[in-house]
Formats: sequence, C-alpha cells, structure tokens
Amino acid sequence: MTDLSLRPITVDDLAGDRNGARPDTLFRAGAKGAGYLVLVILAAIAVSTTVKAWPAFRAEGFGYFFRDDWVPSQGRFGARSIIYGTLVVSAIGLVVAVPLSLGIALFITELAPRRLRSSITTVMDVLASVPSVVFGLWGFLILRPHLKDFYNSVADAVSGIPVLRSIFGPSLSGQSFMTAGVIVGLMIVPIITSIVREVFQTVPINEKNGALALGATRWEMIQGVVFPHSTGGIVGAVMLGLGRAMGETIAVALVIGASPQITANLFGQGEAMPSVIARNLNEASGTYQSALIGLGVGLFVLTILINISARVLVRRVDAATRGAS
Amino acid sequence: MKNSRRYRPGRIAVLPLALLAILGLVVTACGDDTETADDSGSSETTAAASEATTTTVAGLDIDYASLEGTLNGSGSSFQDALEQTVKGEFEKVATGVKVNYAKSGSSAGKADLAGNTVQFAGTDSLIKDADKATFTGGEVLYFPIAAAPITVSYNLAGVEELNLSADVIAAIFQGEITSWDDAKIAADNPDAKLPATPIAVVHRSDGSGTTSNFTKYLKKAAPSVWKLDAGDTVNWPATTQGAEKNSGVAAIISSTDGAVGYVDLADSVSAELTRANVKNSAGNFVEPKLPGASAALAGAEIADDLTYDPLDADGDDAYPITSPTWVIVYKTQTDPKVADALKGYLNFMLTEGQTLAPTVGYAPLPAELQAKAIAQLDMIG
Repeated sequence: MTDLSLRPITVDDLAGDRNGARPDTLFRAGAKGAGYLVLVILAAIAVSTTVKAWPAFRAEGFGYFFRDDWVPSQGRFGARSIIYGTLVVSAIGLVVAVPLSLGIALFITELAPRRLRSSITTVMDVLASVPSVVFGLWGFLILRPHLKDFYNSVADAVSGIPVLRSIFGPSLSGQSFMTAGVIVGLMIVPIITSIVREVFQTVPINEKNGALALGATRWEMIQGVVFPHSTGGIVGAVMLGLGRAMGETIAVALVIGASPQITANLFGQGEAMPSVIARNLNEASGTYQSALIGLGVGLFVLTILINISARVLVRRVDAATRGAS
Repeated sequence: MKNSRRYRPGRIAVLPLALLAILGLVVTACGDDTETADDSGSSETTAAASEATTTTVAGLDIDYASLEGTLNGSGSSFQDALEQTVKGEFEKVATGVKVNYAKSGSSAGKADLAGNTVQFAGTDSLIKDADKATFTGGEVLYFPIAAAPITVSYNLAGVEELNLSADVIAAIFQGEITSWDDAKIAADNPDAKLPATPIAVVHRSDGSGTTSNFTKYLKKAAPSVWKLDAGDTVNWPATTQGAEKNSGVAAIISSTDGAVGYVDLADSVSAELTRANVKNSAGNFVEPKLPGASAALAGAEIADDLTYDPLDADGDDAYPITSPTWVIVYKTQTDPKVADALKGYLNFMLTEGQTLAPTVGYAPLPAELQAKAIAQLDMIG
C-alpha cells in the first residue's frame, strides 16, 4: 500500500483499481448469505421438528400442552408438568445467577485491584469450559446429599408458616427443582458475568468520574451511571443465560428426580423438557418419538417467546431511562 | 473493548495459580465423596459369584484356531459385560476371528439383526409376533447365555435383613405403603425393628430392560396389587423419583435413609447396598445371589425354541426376580465361514463362557439348559 501521507490524496487513490468492485460484490453476497443462512437454518429446524412432532400434536390436541398425564406406555402425552419443571428450574437458575453475576462483574470492573481482575476473569473462563456432565455429576454425588439435609432443616423450620410450608417442603433424597436450579445457576454465572463485564466496561469513564466528582459514593455512581447505561446489555446477558438454563440437559437430568409433577414444593422432585428428550429419544418410536420431538418444539417456542418479550422490555426500559436523562 | 479499559490482558502468571486453586477444590471434593457407585467393584462381585455352581457340559468339538472372519453383534446392554469378557478370551484361542459387540439396547439389537446389519444380536426380551415378518433372514434361533438377579436394594438404619413379598414390593413401589413400620412389612419381618422412616422409592429414569423385567415380575407375581403394567418405562407415581442408570439409582439409595429401589446385582454389590430377601413362588424368602438365579433358570419352563420366563419361577431356592438374556442368530447363514465362526463363538460362550460368567456377575446356565443350547448349535448352517 502506498504511503498516503507523502502527497495529497487524489480521486484516483480513492477509486483504487477497477477490480476492487468484484471482491466487494463477493463480500457483500457472502455476508448477506451468512446472515440469511441463520434464518434459513432456524426455519428449517422449526419446520422439520414441527412436522416430526405433528402426529403427537394431532393425537393430543391442546391437551399436549395442558394435561399432566405423561404415560408413554399407554400413549398419553400431556406435557404441562414437564414444561412447568423447565420454567421453575430456569427461574431458580436466574435467581441464583443474576445477583452473583452482577456482583462479580461489578467487582471486576469497579472494585478489584488490577492484579486480581485478570485472575478472576481467568477463573470464570475456566468455569465456563467445565462440561455440563461434570456439573451434573458433582451436583448428584456431592452437592445433593448435603443439600438434602439443608432442605429438610429449612422445611422443619418453616413447617408452621402457611405459604412457606408448601414452597419449602420436605425432600426425600435431595433430587429436586432447587438442586437442578442451583446447578444450572452456577453453570450460567460465567456466561452472564463475561457479557455484563464487557457491558460495564463500555460505560464512559467521564460520566463515572463526573458522578464521583459531584460527591456520589461508589454505589450511588453505580446506581446512577453504570446501571442505566447497561440495562439493555444486562437484559441481553440474562436472556442468553436463560436460554442456556432452559436448554440444559444432562446436568438437570442427573439431579431433578425424573418425576413429572406440578407442585409448589421447590424441594420436591420434578422433570424438565430437555432431560425427558435426552433420556428417552433413543428408545422411542412412533407417537412417543413425535411427543419427545414435540417437547423440543415447545422449548423452541418458549425460548422465542421469552426472547421477544425481553426485547420489548429492553426497548421500554431504554426509552424510559433516556427520557429521564 | 474500545475505551476505558485499563488492565492489560495476558497476565499468564495467574493462570497456573488459578488452575492450582481449582485442582485443590476438585481434590477436596473427591475426598468427600463416599458414595461413588460407578466403581466396577469386581472383587466383591467375584466374591458373591464364587458361591455359584459351575456346570460342566462338554461342548462341540471345534478347532477354534481354524476359524476366520469378523462377527458383529449389537443389542442388550445387560449382557454387555459378559460379551466383552467372553469375546476377549475367545479371540485369544480363535486368532482368526474378530468379534465386536455394541451395547445399543435390546430393541436396537433386534432391529439390527432384522435389517441384516449384524451377524448376531443380544436381547433380554423375545421378538414380538408383529415384528417377526421384518426379520428378512428367515427363522431366528434363541441361545440362552446367562441370567442375573435384579435386587430390591434399600437403605434403612438398623435393619440389616428384610423379607419382602411380591404384594408388599408392589404396594411400596406404587406409593401405597409409605412408611417402613407399615403393618404389611412388619408381618413378614417379625424380628426386625422397623423405624417410622418414610419410604423413598427410587426407579430408573431412562428406558430400561431392568425396569421391564422388574415390572413384568410384579405384574406376574402380584396381579391383584400391581396396577402400573409392565414396560421399559411405566407411569410411576409422583411421590417416587427417578435416577439415571443402575449406578444412579444405587447412589441415591446409598445416600438416603429410607430409600428403596431395584438395581442389578453387580451395581448393588459395588455400591455396598443392603438387599432384601424376596419371597418366591414356593413361599421361601431367597436372597438375591447367583445360585438363586441359576435355580430360577432350572425351575423355569423351557420352550422348544429355548425361550423361557425365569420371573417368579418354581423351585425352593429360585430367586424370583431373575432376568434372562439371549443371543439371537439366523438359522440359515449365507456365508459358511460366518456360520462356522458363529458356531465357534457360541460354543465358546456356552462352555468356557459359563465358567467366566460368575466372575462378572452373571449366573451360569443350569446343566440341562446348557446341554440343550449346545445341541441347538448344529442347526446353524
């Protein structure tokens, strides 16, 4: 490339050689293709799974999503309790992961000495690379027996209080919604943390310094500058984590107890959609197979719904904070 | 990031430190772990097995060294450990033969044989009448190769010995008996001090031949109580809970006071669980060990095609929850070399293999059945 600083730029320099047009067209086509390919793949997955799942949907009608009796041996597939399990586990996962991730990200960006920052970041990256089956086995063999005793002592403590009594009931073996939720929560902490950390780092330093100069404490500065600036990014990170939590298969399968039921008891055993699919797909045939693929379709739809509502939420919140400032 | 990022990436020095810290965590975690259920526990299995009687029936006179070819098999994961052990020994004497066995599940194995993609299949269940037409290679021969007990394993502080009848097992697994001090349990255990611990029923969460045989047994032996039918998966009540594979069920039982579940003998032994004695059709309470399984085979009614049902079999010493398993092959073989190799492998399985079976947790065939199976070898050709 010629050193443009030595002489004034002419029109010829900007035009480049005439052949430049072709790579440009190719690049545009390639990039456009890649962009549309995502949509095509998504549509292909949606269509083919729905077609595969159709026999079950047709046989069960709306009962597929609104009935509780999941009895493959008798050809009855009501998935409501399984969908419920997925939602509860994901919700617990978020309750565990979001405060923890925000705390870690704030610590890394605002409080930690520089030396510590990179080591915490490294540890988070290592945590993100632990295979989910390892989380699952650790949860099943080590965490579960300890949690069981904890659950039962909590259940004892609240046994006289009406609402808490049914939410924190006794646990038989520690396999429960709560155990699965905690494991999933730990698994999505690295994902949420790394995105939120990046988002926090984009907050303009001048605004932060400005707030501090006006006498704000560090927490007031975080509240007043960092959070409003990062709302969209935080919601995006949480959505990504939620997607992972809802789709998590093997770790949940190992600790949830494989017993589909709708109960308020978070310490009770339940069942989640991906676990049912993973455990049974290789032995299933006919309508049973369709019903399992139907769970996949349900998960797909659920994820899309949650993502859309998150986008709407972000837009509202962004508009509100912009309007305020 | 574009702006305001002050620290420099690439502080390599902290990486080893972080790894060390994590390693430390893992090591401590492992130290805590008192209930790994996945150990092979082969020594204990052998101990349990050595009580089994080994039969001696002469096999066909086959020169293993002259055989050649590759035998592919797939199917039952229940018989996988036996297949792997026997094929290892067989390949030492039949140096020209390579045997492969993939544990894909009984139904997959049957489908593979039907589609002619394997030379033999392992199965724990018979071919359904409706599926017989799909077997394009013609008539199928069943070779029984071994059996093993399914235990009712439990964890109950202070109760080392427990007698259970089929009706009581059915009521427990249906969630109708919920406490260990229930009068129905006490009736069979007058000497035991049964605590009022709630019963935690654990079953397989994955589709399983063990579940199939266990529920078939309850359907057969407790017809008036058992309402959940039989199958690879059944509609367990919500008060029960599932775990992955035999080892997962065993791990839950070993860590939960009051838990009870059905586990195959090898996994129950390696997890050091306590096993209940089960009442057989003769009215005796029999402990789940290999001689009991062999006795169940001896007591079962054997059909002409060597199929049989050892569940709730007759015999004073028969253990009632015994799983059968077969190797199935086509009677008519297109390639004589494959036919000879198959004959050789099955002959080895039915002779030396029977001596090896107890070392990996299987009950060998009783002499009479073994002789019948060997006699059937000549039909392959």
